[in-house]
Amino acid sequence: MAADDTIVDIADDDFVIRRIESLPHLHDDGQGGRRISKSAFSPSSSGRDQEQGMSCNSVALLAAEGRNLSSFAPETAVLAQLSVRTLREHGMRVEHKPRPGNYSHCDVYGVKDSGRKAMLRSADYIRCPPDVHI
Amino acid sequence: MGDVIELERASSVGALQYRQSVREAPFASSSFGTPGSWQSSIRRRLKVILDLPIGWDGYDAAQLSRGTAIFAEQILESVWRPNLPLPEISPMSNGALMVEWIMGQKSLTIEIERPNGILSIYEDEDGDVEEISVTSNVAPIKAQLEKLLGLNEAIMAAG
Repeated sequence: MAADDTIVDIADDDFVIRRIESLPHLHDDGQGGRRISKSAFSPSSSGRDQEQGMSCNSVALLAAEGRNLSSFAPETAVLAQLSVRTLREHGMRVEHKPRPGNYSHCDVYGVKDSGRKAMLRSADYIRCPPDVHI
Repeated sequence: MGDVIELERASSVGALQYRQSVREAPFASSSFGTPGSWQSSIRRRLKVILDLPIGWDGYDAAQLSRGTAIFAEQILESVWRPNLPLPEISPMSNGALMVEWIMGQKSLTIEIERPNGILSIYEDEDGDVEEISVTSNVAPIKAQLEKLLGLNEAIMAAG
């Protein structure tokens, strides 16, 4: 296994996982359900990252660490799995950005409104409460 | 321009009240024929977001600043009109605020990045997008809202 700070290329056929918290990003739809806002796919503070990438985790790197998605971030309501190929086809960059204690961390750069909508619609919601939709 | 947002910590009750007001009357005009109840709901939601800690998104999200929240409240107060539904208000990981109205295939998204820093994006039913950057002049945003609400252009011209 690579050292904790070794940066690797993220392959097109890899996937990334984006955590979506309920209070900020799930809204009542007025019909008894909840809707995911595209705000869930927004870049981080420039204080941490001047390029303002959107944080996520590589599925392949998580697997290499022996971690499975069913137990990843158990406190998070929604997990959205995004295709790296699809992100790149929409003009976004996906780069491995390991962080202390989070080797599989990646950033998605170039996120704009059109990209957010594309992510919202194309994501595979591998964890999602039954009343939640896009 | 409305009351300054209170500094007391938001409570889960505030969040519940906002969700309940949207559930009970998402598009009902009677609840929002006057600005007071609409603005109260907005203010409750902003308080909940202000109370989110650093890293609220599970990563490194910044907190919403009081200045941005107050500016957002002022902008929303400026564009209010009778029968305007409550928007969905969400924090963004970079400390900005997203305000969304979705009506069928049309949507209006206002990203309030900081005081006097707004990006307003209107998408019509054909998928055509109009994106404008404004500081504090809400006239272009009002025009986009008129399109979203499908109001007659003659009414817009009159007013």
